[in-house]
Amino acid sequence: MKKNLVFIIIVLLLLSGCQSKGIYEKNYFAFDTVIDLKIYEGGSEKILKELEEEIYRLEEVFSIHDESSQISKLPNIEDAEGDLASIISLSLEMEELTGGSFDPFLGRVSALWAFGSPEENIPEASLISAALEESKNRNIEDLDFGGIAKGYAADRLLQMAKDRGVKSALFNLGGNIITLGTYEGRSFNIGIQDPLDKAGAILGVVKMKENSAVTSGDYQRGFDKDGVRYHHILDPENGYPVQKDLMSVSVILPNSARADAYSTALFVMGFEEARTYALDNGVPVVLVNRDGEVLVLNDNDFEFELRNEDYRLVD
Amino acid sequence: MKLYDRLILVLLVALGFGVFFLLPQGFSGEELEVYRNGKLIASYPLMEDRVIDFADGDKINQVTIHEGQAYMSSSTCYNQHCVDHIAISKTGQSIVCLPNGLVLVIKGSEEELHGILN
Repeated sequence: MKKNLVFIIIVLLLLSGCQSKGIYEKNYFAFDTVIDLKIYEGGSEKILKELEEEIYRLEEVFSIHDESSQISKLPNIEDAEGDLASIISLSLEMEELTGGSFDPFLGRVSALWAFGSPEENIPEASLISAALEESKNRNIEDLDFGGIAKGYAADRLLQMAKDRGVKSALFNLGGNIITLGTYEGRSFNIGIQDPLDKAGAILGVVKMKENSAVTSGDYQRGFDKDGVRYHHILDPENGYPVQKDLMSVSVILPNSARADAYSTALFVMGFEEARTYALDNGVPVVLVNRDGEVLVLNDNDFEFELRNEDYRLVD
Repeated sequence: MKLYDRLILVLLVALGFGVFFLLPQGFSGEELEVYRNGKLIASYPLMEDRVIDFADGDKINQVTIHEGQAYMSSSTCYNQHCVDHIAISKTGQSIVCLPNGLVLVIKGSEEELHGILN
């Protein structure tokens, strides 16, 4: 009878384990996008609030569109301290690592395009070339953390959550995803959007445990005019949206800031150059080109599952 | 195991399942949650068809729930990305109207996708 009782208790415990685990979730707007915080295990309202406040704090530091932000008030790059000094240092490192394909000094040029605002437009060619020329001076006004700030913030949130004893979480900063622990012992399933379908269909699924995934694509922020797509990823060579053969680049790296910068840089490089670079430097990536080819490289820490018949996997 | 023990076991297991399925979250099923500037402002069962207008000054969005799917039927935003988005029905899917600060999210007991890179 004792054995039976133990068995019964185990069954009941298992059943009670199936119930809601107390997920803490919050979604809100910051960094010009939607932030979605989900804590699956070890969370509390207090932790959620602290994470939310940290995002707002970082936004006040990095936003080049806000005149009262720390970056806007900084007199010289050399005067940067704290988070600003860290993100500038990381941006410069990523610029060097990618041979300039990740360029954090395109702020003046991207301001002309005004992507994501009602003023977005095709600037005069003379204005673009003048801004590009000016950006070579690498002044404080040229800095733009658009290709790295959300990743930096994601890394910070992860560390804060870890420090507070969170065991399982997913933070989605407008398409910059970072995960902590596992989802009930299994991988998190992260969908990658079909770059040809602006309506939100899925290209495939990345399965990963504690990691980060960031996508750069020409379907994201931007506009269409006269049948041409003008998107937010600018070519440092000419100041215009990159017009190469990639549609989407997803980098899967534990450090979200680096994943963020790499995804932009590889998109700028184009398919063949990105393939060579990722192989030479061990960057885990899913590349999608205009021929519908999907190339998965360095997938030791994640699995990719293609879920769209319009695309095919290539080696 | 005696017959009596088996009976108790069956009863307890049945009770366990009963508690699990009859708890409120068991009934909730798939729902549409609507957030305005990060605050949950409404939620609706996906199984009931309806059309809802959300207005915040001149920022107006119309949401339609039809046959288990939700979509943005109209919006006053400048880029209309939310209106172009496909209807959503699976847990974790969302439609975002960034200019108007409105987010639609499908909630449910099991998440097929935990996040989407878009």
